[in-house]
This record gives sequence, structure tokens and C-alpha cells, in this order.
Amino acid sequence: DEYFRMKLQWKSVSDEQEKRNSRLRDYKSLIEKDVNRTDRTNKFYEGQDNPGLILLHDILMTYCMYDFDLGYVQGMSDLLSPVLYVMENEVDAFWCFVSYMDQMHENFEEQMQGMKTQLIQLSTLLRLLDSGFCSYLESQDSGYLYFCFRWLLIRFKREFSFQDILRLWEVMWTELPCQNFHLLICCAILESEKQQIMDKHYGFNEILKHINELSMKIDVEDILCKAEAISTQMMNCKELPQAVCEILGMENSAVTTPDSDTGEDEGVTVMSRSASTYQNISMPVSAANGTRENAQQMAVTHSANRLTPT
Amino acid sequence: MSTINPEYDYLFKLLLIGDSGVGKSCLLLRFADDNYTDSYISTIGVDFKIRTIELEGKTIKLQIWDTAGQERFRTITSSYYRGAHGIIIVYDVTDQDSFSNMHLWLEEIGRYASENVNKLIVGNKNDLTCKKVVDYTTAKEYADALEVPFLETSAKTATNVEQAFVTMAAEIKNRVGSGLPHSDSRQPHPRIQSAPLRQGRAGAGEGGDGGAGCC
Repeated sequence: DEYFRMKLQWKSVSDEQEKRNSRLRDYKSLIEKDVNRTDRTNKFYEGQDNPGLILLHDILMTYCMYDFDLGYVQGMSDLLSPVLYVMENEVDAFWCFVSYMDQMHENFEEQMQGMKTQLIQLSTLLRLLDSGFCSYLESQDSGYLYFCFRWLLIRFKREFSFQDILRLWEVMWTELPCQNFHLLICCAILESEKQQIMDKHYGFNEILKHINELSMKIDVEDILCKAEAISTQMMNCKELPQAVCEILGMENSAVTTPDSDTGEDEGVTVMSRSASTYQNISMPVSAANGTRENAQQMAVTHSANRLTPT
Repeated sequence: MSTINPEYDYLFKLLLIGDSGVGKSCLLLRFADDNYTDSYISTIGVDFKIRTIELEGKTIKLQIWDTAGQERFRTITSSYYRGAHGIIIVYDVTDQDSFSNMHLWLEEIGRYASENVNKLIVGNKNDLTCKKVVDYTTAKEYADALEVPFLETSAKTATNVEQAFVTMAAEIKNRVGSGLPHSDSRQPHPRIQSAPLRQGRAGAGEGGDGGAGCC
């Protein structure tokens, strides 16, 4: 109802009105261009007259009326496409997208404050995990982790296959095992590539190229395991810096595991050890389904399942 | 990176800019990989491709940076202007707005690129003759007034794509080659650096956003 009211708003704009509304015109033009180049190899969006294309277009246009200040920013079609695919219903997909955008909004705003924050948070986590690698990146003018921009803006949408994205996003939307789990996924991927980057002494350009070319080459299960292992490692860390606790939504008092011996410099070795032990434990996605027993042990205070499109 | 590389005589960094959807990535794909696809994806962030060409007996390595076109991303893309030897401003001959926005892109160059950077204006999608709205003469006069070379291209049919990049390379070579021969391959490679995001760039997103709101 609310949806169709907003949909009617842009649908009823006459050509004459549109001529006088450059912002609406710009949004519309961008949306048309992007709908034409979003997941066109997917059955749901392939071909010339696929109804999926019209739905994608209409929901994005309606979102402009929902939040005209933000309007349409490139990357948003990537975020909507899997949601629409799963929901298969225009109105439901719209409201799910609204919730998803609530989380992602800041990334797309004029000053891209969300992106700046995420890059700083990622840098904080990576430094704790592997200060040596951080120093290397800094020595190559890459300390600001700009090369992760695409990962963070559209939540790895271009890095994994469509099916893998459905799985990855579902895991992230549970906010388990911790808040900002996507940043730990970044850490896990970077750790996996660290050796090659440092061994071959990649510079600024090569690092960017290497990261961009990882697209569709990353194993989603493997990286989820590694990221979960990092979260466990951090939770078991005795003196987790306050900044890290805040990023991951962990309470300092909850971090009391006695046998924790994680020092800053040991980060990587500890990580690889826990990664191997974690192979035997249930996958993160089972936490999403609420079957995981030790989920309660985790210092997660946030409500899960804010948006679970299944 | 080593400071002297025997594989080439020159290394030039080029940058493709212009409105979203004008075909920057397709031009690059055509030039670097001699490929074309109708169902391309939008560029998020930045990427680059490399192609080495021979010109007047010299080997020139072109490192061509491709950027996202939407205004919102200019804060990010503007940091790649520095260190570029040449900038190709692309518009779509079937899209009047992309041509009208040309001055905004030239302002960006003035603001962020080095002063003597070579420029080239390219009108892409010239194969779509029935949809063409920006005619050659209009664009040519505009480019002439700015003393910027101009070409109409089609990434789809490959028309003039090679010429566009080679023209640019030749002009840069004339510029850097005349004064200091080989200067670019002897120096440590000038990097296109990313400016720290957190410093922000006041004013980077201004311009072209004067439209009235709605509702």
C-alpha cells in the first residue's frame, strides 16, 4: 500500500515535470543504465524483456521516492538484485531492500562517511591481527586499504558468484558470530593473499590489480571458516583493545577465556591454528538457523535476523 | 618496482573519465583486450589495464585507469588524477547530458590533474547512428575552442579506438620526449597515488547538483 503510493509518485511525473526536475532525471537515467548491466547472466535478469528487469527498475525508482536525498547511487542495484531474486515479490523485496539500505546508507551518502569508517575499522582489525602486513601495505602507499573499496561498498557482490552471495549475505545478516563480520571476511581474504603480495613485493598498483582480480576466485566456504576462526580468536583474546571490541560488538568483560595467549604479533599463527580446528565445527550458516549450540557463548548482544530473506 | 625496466622505453598513465554509462570500460576492454560485450557491468571504484604499443620505434607501456562515472564517486576517483600523463574525457554521442557535462569533467581535471596533462575528448557509441544527438561539428568546435584533440569512436565496432589511445600516447611522447628523453622510464615510476579518504576533499562533490528537489 505504502509501496504503491510511492511508486505512483514517480510513475505519474509527466515529461514536462521531468524536464524541470534534473535530480529525478539523473536518478532515472542512472537506474536505467545500471538495470541494463546488473546480473544479466542470471536467469532472473537475462534477455531483453525479462520481467525481473522491470521489477529491479521499479523498486529502485520507488526507493528514490522513499529517500529522495540519497536517491540512486551506483552499487545499489547490486545490493537489490539478490534480495529481489530471493523474495520474488516486488513489495517484499522493496521493504527488505529498505532495511538493507538502513545498514548501508552511510556508504552511499555524499561524503561516503560509511566507507571512511569501514576502512578505518578494517585497518584497526588488520593491525591487531597482522601488524607486519599492515606496515607492508603502508610502505606501499596502500595503508588506507582503498583496494577494498568495492568489497565494502557492495558487500563482496562482485567478488563471488550469485549463489555464494546469497549464502554470504545470509551469514552476515545474522550478525553472528559478531557484529561487522564482513570486516573479518576482509581480513580473512587479505590474510590469504598476504604471502603472495609480500613475496612478490607488490606495490600500490599491483596490490589493487591483484585484489580486483580475485573476483570469482575466492572459495566462500573457506573464507567463512577463516573469518569465523578470526572472530573466535579475537573473542578469546584476553586484552582485546577497546576499539576492536566496539567494532565487533563484543563486551570487554565477556572476554575472559583463561588460556588465551594471543599477542599482537602472534596473531597469524594463532589464526591458522584455530582455522584448522574449526573445520570440524559447524559452519557459520548453521548459526543463522539457530542450531548452533555455542552461539550463546558468544558475546553478541545484538538481535539476529533483522533481515533474513528465506 | 625496479627503477629501470628494459621491457619498455616509456610508461604512460592514462585516465578515462566521463559520465556513467558512456562506455569508458568498453573502450578500455576494446583497446586492451580487443574485446566487446553488450552486457557490461558498471565500474565500482577503480581498475586499470595495461597494453604495450610500438610508436616511432619506441616501446610504450600504457597503464590505463578506468573510473566510476557517477558524481558521488568523484572523491575517490579524483585522487587518481595525480600522476596521470593523459586524461581521456568520454561522452556518449547518443546522450546529450553526457556531452553537456563535459565542462564539469574539465573542471575536475583543472582541479586535480597536473597542469600540463594531455587531454583528449572522445565521443563514444558512434555506431548508433540513428540515436546520435551530439553531432560531430558541435563537438569538434567545442574541442577546438579548448584546443583539445577530438575523436568519435565506437567500442562496439572498434572504430577509432586504437587511434584514440595512440593519438594520446603520441602527444604525451612528444611532450615528455622532447625535453627530457626517456625521463619517465628512468625515474622511479610516478605512482598514481590514492589520497587518504579520511582527509576528505572539501568541494570534491560540488557542481552539477543544482537541481530542485522533489515532493
